[in-house]
Amino acid sequence: MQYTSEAIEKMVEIFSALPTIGRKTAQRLTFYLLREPADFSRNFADTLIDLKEKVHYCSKCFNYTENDPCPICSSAKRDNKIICVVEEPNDVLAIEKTSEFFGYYHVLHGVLNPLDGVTPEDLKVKELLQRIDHTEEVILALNSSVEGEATTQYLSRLIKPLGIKVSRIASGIPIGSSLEFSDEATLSRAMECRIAI
Amino acid sequence: MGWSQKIFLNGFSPFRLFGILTTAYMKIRKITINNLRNHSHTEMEFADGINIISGLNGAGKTTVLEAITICALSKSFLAMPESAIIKSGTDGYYIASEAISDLGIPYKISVGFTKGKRKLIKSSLGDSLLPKEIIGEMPVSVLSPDYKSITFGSPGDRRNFIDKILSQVSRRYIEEAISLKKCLKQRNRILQIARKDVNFDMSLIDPWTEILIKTGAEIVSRRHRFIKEFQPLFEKYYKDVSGGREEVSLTYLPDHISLGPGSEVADVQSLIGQYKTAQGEVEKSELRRGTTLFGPQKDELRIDINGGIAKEYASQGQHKSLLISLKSAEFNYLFEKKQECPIILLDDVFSELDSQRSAKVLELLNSKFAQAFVTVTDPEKLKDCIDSSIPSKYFLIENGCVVNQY
Ligand SMILES: Nc1ncnc2c1ncn2[C@@H]1O[C@H](COP(=O)(O)OP(=O)(O)O)[C@@H](O)[C@H]1O
Ligand SMILES: [Mg+2]
Ligand SMILES: [Zn+2]
Repeated sequence: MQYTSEAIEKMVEIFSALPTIGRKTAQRLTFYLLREPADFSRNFADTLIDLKEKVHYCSKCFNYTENDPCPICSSAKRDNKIICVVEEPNDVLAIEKTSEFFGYYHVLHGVLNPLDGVTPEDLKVKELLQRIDHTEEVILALNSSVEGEATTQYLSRLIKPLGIKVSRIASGIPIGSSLEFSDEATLSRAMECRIAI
Repeated sequence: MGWSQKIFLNGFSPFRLFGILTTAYMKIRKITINNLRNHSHTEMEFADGINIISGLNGAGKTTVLEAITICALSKSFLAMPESAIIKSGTDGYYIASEAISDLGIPYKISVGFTKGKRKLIKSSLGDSLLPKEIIGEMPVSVLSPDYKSITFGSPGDRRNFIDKILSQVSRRYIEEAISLKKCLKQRNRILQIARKDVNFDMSLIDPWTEILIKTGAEIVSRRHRFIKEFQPLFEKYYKDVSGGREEVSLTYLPDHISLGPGSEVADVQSLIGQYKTAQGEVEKSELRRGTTLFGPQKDELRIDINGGIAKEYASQGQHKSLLISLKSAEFNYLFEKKQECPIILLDDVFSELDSQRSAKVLELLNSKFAQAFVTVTDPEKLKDCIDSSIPSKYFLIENGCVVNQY
């Protein structure tokens, strides 16, 4: 496509390189930026640069942070006997929102995926093993995809022999939803994972 | 006698009263077909009973049935790549249909597919749905000469037959089947890598083996239970179609698994144990060949006739009778399991059948008050065979357009 400006063309290219953004949306965003006051773009650009310069991995849990260790890892109020392993930084946010988990996290940054060439070396697995000597329980909170499942299996085979308790999050019926309206696959899994009372 | 009265007198109450499940009926009222094969833009309004779609060869009759299965199963009943069914010269197809249940609850569904993009499925249940979220909402049972492969073809064709039915009955089954497929791809990949690398860390194979075994056991246990329930239906229909002259049977033969004779349910734990043994046996060959050598992707469903394997023993006519019985049994299995009457799709069935076998298929059409869609080259032959109390509608198709309807 032929734009009337090279700068516009470049901006559209960059936007459309982002996930979920197609060419049309990229164009809309570009023209939106052009219409906004110059302050907006300046702020936008500064924020973008800060993001990459200030944010890095926490050396303990590998979540994103500006200060190392991150606020969670440096909090004295948390229980250092429990570590919850998640796939992505997003998952930490989700679990933190519950305000029910007071241990530490460990972000793997992905799951095993031979087809995409993802091996344990590409994940923060070694780093996990290095920090769990004083841990009593590791909770594996990976997604229920086949790849997440395989990673759960893999990690539990590595950690269990160290004499550490390994657990995984349960899958079941969402709270507040009635059995009648639960989808059948969820219901059948929940049945399978029933617990004695 | 009117349509609804007749349903009632036959014991199929069209209502779900006081939460007690009685058979539900879903009827397709309308369909819009855009850019599917030779159809550019076709809109059809259907009768609740039998819809007869006629036209010359190549007119676009089967395409209408394909459009219906795209709405019911998320893809055409014909095994074809998606890109092959898009009208040539266009970018994608779009199908939308409106159905209504006997309770008067509308169900709308649309499926759009554009080359190089993700399939877009929307229904009354929500936008941007996955296939597994719509399969089974509008159960269908298709009979087409294309399904000859069930009795003629490879084990894969027969596994497909089982999978299509179970997928409409159980969402859990769809999920297990998807997991199996993904797991096999990953496991085969890792076996290929292991084969080439002498220093490979073998423990990396274990997690995939574990998932294969667990998922495999869930699938086998469900297939086994299914065949146990399906077999009597099949035998009954075969007797019916053939006049009781031949003995037929179905035997489920899961790969590397022996199911105790007569056992109704296969215990998942015992299946897992058997798979573990199997894995030990094939381990070396798997590494040598770089591929998975055990699991439900190798199961067989043996169809016997008079003590011999149907694929080798059955005559042309017997193959036809087998197919009709399998499909009638499928219809009734879905009917009972879902407490919902499947929509019947018959593609060019009557041109291939003699009058006796045709009569059996018509019996199915006339008996259960299912909504049916039938393609024929000559509608006149069919007219006299259809119960006049059943609401029916005729469509004449030419070059991908409805040119006449009455
Ligand atoms: N991708 C496609 N684009 C355009 N036309 C197609 C495509 N695929 C098949 N056709 C044509 O559409 C028609 C398919 O019609 P079909 O529904 O199978 O006919 P019928 O069942 O009436 O014999 C044929 O004439 C075929 O040549
Ligand atoms: Mg046809
Ligand atoms: Zn941290």
